[in-house]
Amino acid sequence: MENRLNRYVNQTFLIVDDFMEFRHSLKRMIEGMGGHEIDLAASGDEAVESYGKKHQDIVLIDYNLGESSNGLQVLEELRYKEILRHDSIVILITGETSMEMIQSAIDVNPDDCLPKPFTKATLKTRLDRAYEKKQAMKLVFQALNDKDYLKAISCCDYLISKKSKYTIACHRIKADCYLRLGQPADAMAIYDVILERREISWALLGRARCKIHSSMYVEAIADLDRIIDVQKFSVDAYDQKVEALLAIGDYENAYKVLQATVSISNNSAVRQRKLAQLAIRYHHYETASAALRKAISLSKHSSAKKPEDYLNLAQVLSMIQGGNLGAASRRAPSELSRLLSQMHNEFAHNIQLGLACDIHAAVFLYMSKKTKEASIKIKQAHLKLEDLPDEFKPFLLDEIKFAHRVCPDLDGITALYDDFYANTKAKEQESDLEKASAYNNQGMNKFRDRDYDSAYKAFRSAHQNAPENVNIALNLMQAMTKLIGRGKDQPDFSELLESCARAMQSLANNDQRKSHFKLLFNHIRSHVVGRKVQQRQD
Amino acid sequence: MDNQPNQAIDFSSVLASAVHDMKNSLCMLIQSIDTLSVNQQDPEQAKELASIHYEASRLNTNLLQMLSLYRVEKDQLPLFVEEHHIYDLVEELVEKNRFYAQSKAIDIDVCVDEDLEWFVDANLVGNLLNDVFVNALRYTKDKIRFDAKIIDERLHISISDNGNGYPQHMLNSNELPMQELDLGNNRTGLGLFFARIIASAHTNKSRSGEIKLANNGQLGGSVFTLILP
Repeated sequence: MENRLNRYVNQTFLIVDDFMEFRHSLKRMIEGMGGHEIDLAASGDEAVESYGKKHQDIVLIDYNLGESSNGLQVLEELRYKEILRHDSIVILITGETSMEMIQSAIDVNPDDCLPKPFTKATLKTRLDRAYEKKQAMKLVFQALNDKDYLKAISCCDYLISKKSKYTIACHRIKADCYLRLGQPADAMAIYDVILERREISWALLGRARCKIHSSMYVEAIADLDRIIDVQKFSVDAYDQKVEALLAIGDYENAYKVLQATVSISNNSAVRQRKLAQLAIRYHHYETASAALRKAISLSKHSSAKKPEDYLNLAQVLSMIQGGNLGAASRRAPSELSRLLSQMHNEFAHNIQLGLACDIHAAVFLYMSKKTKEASIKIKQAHLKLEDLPDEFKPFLLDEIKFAHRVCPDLDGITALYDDFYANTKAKEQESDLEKASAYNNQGMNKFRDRDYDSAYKAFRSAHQNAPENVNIALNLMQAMTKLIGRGKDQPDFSELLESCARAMQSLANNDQRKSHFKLLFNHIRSHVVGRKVQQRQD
Repeated sequence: MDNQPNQAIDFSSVLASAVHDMKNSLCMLIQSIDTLSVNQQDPEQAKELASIHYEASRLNTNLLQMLSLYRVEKDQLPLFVEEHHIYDLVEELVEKNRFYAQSKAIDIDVCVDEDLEWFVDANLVGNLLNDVFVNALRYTKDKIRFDAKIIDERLHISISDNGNGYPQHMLNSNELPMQELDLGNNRTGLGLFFARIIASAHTNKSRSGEIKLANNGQLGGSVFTLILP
């Protein structure tokens, strides 16, 4: 029978630490508790590989893993790849509790943070505590593993009704599930009850998220300012505030807040990308290039590596080269040529990126006053683009637009622009946030009245006016789902779905809307694909 | 190139990084003592080890306090308030100091409801209480008692002993503003300062935490109470 003394005998362990002595000392402690199936990993990569294969029950991971990565980044990657099981116990071991660490710990939410030094007895009490919680809430975590959020909610309700020791944790998970199901009103009700008792940051943050989810941006900002007032290091609050500010078109404040956020925590590639975009808007190319370099190095080893980052950096370097920025302008050409060859190597199989690189190489030649070679390069690219069977990726279109803007008098560029960019959807999609907001409100009213046809049309217009707004994209997808349910799907669903997916790329990994998005996305896609197959058979 | 050979060293940062390094060594040291204690049969030797363990943990507590105070000064003290079971917090303190308590035959009584949850930064409050507990272990006769209850929407955790109680000048410090605390005093000068900072960092609905020192408690000796909104 399982008891406090032998409970770890049948558990599997993964110890992650870059120091050999520490790995072995931890291993001895675990052995002292009866554990014997223990895997050791010396780096983040080894840890991801080992966990990916064996899904150990208990993971002990050091925050400090040397130069390349840290424990939280490893956990983030596991969560991002959706291999981290909710019933695994994850204990983060920390040498010190820095601001940056604590803040990202809130985002990744390990089961416990254990500060060094600790004795075997402390480790055992902490493990026991986490173990008992996982056992008591076993059904909840199983449901979460299965992404069965409704079941997770009902399991939580059961524990709450039994006055479980973990009642508050259950409420928190419940609210989170409602957000994942796209039911912000239900989540909000839970947060409200908690907040009546106490202003706890996760509940305040959750409620702000509900408000953003319901497109109540101004109200959300008021809530977020209350968190920031007390906890000026709450990165999550800053991130949400940036989203809300962007949604109402206040780019200037969004840029300010984002800069403050990055100075607190600079380990999120998504955040660095947003900063780069805003810096470009305000022509702060040095800030932009630093942010993009950081984004590239952060996503280098993970599955989130993006060709767009490299291309954007190339564009920014060209702006620096052409600008009057002293040493930075003089350094730009050599960095740029290194970057272009790095792109050829790292994305050798990405044909569209290769073409974008070719166009950018022409820009580079043009900037270096080699107009003749630049023109030849552009014309070669033109021919290759003509042979491209696939639809152009947004980054390729973006590069064409960029080249046209910075080399307006380059021989061949106008033809390239007219043939491949001028008539595309990308040109039509210029954002107008006020219009978007009006259409979105109209859509929400129609949706409430169950007039899904009108709601769909309104959300579609809203989306076209604010292609980057996540909530509008989700609203549109909800309306699409309703229409599918009534057999009234439209021919443009497939294209819209792709465009909605693009809006979702700006979401942080821990954002609950990702789950809601995936749910809707899979539903709509399976339908759209099904319809295509049917058409072919007809 | 900007060459500034006379650029002042930020001494507190140097100190903080040195402290950080010391903590790593201490970490290995405490773990070794721990391993030795488990296999120690000779009661005399075990007692000796327990007291080395005690001193090493005290050193660690001091270093932790220094690091936290450094962060306070840099306005970078991270506060990670979440709901925690108070019993778990106390159990861990008792577990951490078990060897020493056993070697001195001190009886420890934990009167805390296992289901009591409250919103605290577990590490900071853990350090604070550990410091108080370690002092109680030193100054008590043979009993220490933990209590925790909610009074008027605030958590009261107290540690009482049956020693001689706090000296008068420490009781007086209850009323003193922070900057007038006597940090040079060796019993809990730094500890008290740290405790007040941690307590007041915990806020809820415009109320903030506090600490109270008293004598003639339930066990006859000193009582330290941490009150968190």
